[in-house]
Amino acid sequence: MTIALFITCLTDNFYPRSGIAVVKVLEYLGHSVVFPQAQTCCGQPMYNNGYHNDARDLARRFLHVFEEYETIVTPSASCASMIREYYPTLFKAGTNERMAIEALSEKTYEFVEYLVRVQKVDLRSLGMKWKGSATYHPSCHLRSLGMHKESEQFIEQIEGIDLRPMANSEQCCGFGGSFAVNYPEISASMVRDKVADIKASGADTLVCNEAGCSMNIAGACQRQGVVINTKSLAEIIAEGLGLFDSENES
Amino acid sequence: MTTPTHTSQARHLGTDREVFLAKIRGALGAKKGRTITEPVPDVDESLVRLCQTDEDLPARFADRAQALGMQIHHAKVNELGAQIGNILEKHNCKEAVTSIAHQLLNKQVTEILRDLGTAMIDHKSTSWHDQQFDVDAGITDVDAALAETGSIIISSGAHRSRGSYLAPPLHIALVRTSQILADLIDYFDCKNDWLDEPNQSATVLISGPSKTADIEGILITGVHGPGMVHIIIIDDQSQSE
Amino acid sequence: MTVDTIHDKHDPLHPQLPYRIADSVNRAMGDVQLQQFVNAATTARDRGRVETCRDAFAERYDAVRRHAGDIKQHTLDHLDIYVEQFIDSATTAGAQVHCAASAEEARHIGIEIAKANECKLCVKSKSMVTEEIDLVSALEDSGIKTLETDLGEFIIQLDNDAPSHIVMPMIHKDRRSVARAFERELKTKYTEDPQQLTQIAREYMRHKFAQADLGISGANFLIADTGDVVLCTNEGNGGLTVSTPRLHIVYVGIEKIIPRLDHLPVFLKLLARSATSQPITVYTTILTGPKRELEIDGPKHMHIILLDNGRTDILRTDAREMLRCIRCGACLNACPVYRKVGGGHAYGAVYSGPIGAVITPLMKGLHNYPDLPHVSSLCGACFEACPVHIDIPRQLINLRRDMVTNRTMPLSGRLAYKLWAIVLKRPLLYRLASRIMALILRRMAQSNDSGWINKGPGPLGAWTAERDFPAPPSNSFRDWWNRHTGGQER
Ligand code: SF4
Repeated sequence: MTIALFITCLTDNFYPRSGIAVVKVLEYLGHSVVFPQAQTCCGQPMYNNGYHNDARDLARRFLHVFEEYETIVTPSASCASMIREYYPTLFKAGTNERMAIEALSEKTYEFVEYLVRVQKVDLRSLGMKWKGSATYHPSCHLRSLGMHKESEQFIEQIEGIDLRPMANSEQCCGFGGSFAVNYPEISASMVRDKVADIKASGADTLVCNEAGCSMNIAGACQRQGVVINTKSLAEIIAEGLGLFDSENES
Repeated sequence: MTTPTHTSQARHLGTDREVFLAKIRGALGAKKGRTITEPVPDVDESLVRLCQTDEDLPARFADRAQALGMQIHHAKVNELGAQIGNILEKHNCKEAVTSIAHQLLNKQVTEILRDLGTAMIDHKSTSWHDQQFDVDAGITDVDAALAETGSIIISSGAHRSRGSYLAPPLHIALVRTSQILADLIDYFDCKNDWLDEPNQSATVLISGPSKTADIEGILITGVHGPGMVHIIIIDDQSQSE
Repeated sequence: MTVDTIHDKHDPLHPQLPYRIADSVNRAMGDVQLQQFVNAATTARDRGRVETCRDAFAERYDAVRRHAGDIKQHTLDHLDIYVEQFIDSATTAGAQVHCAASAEEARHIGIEIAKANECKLCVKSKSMVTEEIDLVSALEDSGIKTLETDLGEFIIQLDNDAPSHIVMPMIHKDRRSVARAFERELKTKYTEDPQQLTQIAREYMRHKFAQADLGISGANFLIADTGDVVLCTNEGNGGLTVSTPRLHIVYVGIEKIIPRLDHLPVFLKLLARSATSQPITVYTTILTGPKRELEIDGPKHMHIILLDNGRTDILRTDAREMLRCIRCGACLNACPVYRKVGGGHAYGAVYSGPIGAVITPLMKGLHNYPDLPHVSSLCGACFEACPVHIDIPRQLINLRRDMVTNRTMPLSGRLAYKLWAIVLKRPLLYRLASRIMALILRRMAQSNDSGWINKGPGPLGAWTAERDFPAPPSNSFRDWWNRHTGGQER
């Protein structure tokens, strides 16, 4: 199947390795991946902050760029839920545009969700191995896609992983986009709690699938001198399958 | 606006009802006199029902009531006296109010208390209003009981006072097995069928002793209502009786 | 005179408007002990909710929440009809129903009734609506001594404090403050034992119940077709409030209506589980008018005051779903932000937490509460907790939208987003801007060799005050893709 990749601004610029891993894993599973070059941003920052006219324009753009593909996969659950849950609310019910947007919503998936729910991938049958201790932060949007439990069970399929439970794992890390800069005290206090729970897990690696959360958590770990590797699940899978051949890709 | 006189019979304080309703209609973009055209959503039992009617209702009722913090006793009709006596004695109750709508049961309990020598407080007397807060125990029957939650249901009426099951520190409730319903749904589908008297003003579902967790989330029982609720389940269904 | 002007500015629930949150946030964030206290209580409640709801409804939990939401939504969509039906049926049941358009009118009606009946002492059970209209001080000003009988509210009243949680009003107070208040106000022997403290309150209030000539309560549900008023309480004070005094006044918002009595189980099953992880509240009292002739006790007269006070304004907008709220407090318990600042009355209004962050600006004006819609990471925990399936994050976003539309947002912010959007709509410009940004960020990170920025300018400074910001790697994903495919899309 041909899958169109929506990379998202943060993954594109800050976490390219995670995006590369998504491509490699999808290709490994036999899909051909395309990257529509005209893509920019789903418009979530505009939407979340109330700039709905701009968000609507960006939704139209997104539709224009991605409409032709049969499946769209993105490494970000928050961008996926922007497209799935919120795009339709920007258009009047019953209009052609709304119907086109709804059709788009129905074929857009977050990466892990796509593997688990659509492809029904079982990591045990792929023969991947990944050695190390890890703990998992299920991002809020993955949770709101109903993927909290499923994504955790998915990780448990990884052979060799020493998965450490994290206390309060379901709690928000405090990122929240503009919230982190508008209310830095609250946001920072939230991420401090998160870092404490991560530290207490004793894991070497934090698995986090949302670039925004990763930035926030890793940035707080860095400031507090907590040494931890932050990786997306796509990276772990790609590593476990030996798909990263050269270091200039990482 | 009318100024009420010594009783509270003023009808139209505040905004005129039509003006008030017109504002709601305005907000909804609705016209006066419109009717509901879409179907009113019915309760979806497949989602909401938590106790099936074919379960062992008395057993589940006893189990849940206990989980709520109420104490369960079983009695045949002829053992009632001993059970009540035990409870009153254990909690050192010298006086009790009876608030029982079921006539036969009422007669029986009255005799039991007389035999026990427990002072009986009359909730129909004028002194009841002040006295209710000093009575040791209230003994009531119930309209119905729920296996789903372990709740007992009591309505007020000519024979049952609201105070009798709220004010004393100890409440003894007499539940007949034939009164135990499965689910809240079953009760509210036909609440009136279960009333001991028609056209009464208050029904209460009691689900445990009075509770609070206001101070540091620590659970304390008996804050305003009874701290102890004893339920005596009377088997009125067994064939062997 | 409105609610907002009768108070001095020290009342944390009725502050001077417009209310800016910064000071309260700073104060709350400075009190680590209080945060931990509130955090522990709310986390425990939230876990309890999940456990009891999963236990009862299993995988149907979400569907049940939706179902309850649908019933409420239907009622709201036809609220004109149901309010009218309720007024008629409650009147038939013997109650007198009054309509109050505003808080002021609601207070006035109650006081008029109380005065006409020569009431001197009022016992009151817990009710958020009476907090909303600030009833108690108005009653006291009219010479009607009023006693809060819910234990938490009673302690708060003694301490001249304000409730900080819609279900657990004194979540911000510990047993020592209760002990001090009782010793000081009730002249009882100092004890920190919750059991003994409760006992003291019990003894104190029992005699007041006997003396009171007026009982005031709220209502959790109103039943349109029967005129029933449903009260859910745990302590038993609600029951006594409607049993001993000769007059009962119910204060209730119009959104509390549900169509029929057989709908009630759906909500009873959800309310207590969501609020306090109980299968049902200890006392669920269903009142159908005042005491009947032959009945032994109960109020001779029952008045129901239906309150609008801004609710029709919410009904009018796409925030209508907010009125489904059954005030269970689950969204507060689930909210990571409430857990940080909720103990300090930071929401500046009677309704706190996620529900308050939406309905306070709706009821009192966005311009009066411009910060509330923004104090949220939009994590969605509230939405998942809400028993009537209210999409609170979306409603917060809609309020942000309204602030953009009506230009309550500062110009600088609006311009910044405009500029950003202009870039995002043009792929070439977007790529160029990304590249420049990456360069600048890398340059900023160079000073310390770690690949991290630890001190940034402007909004980045707010970020780097407490955490580092990553410098983008020199190759973006796009760069890799172009090498990987030789610049082809596929
Ligand atoms: S919004 Fe929902 S969760 Fe919050 S108090 Fe209301 S009903 Fe409960």
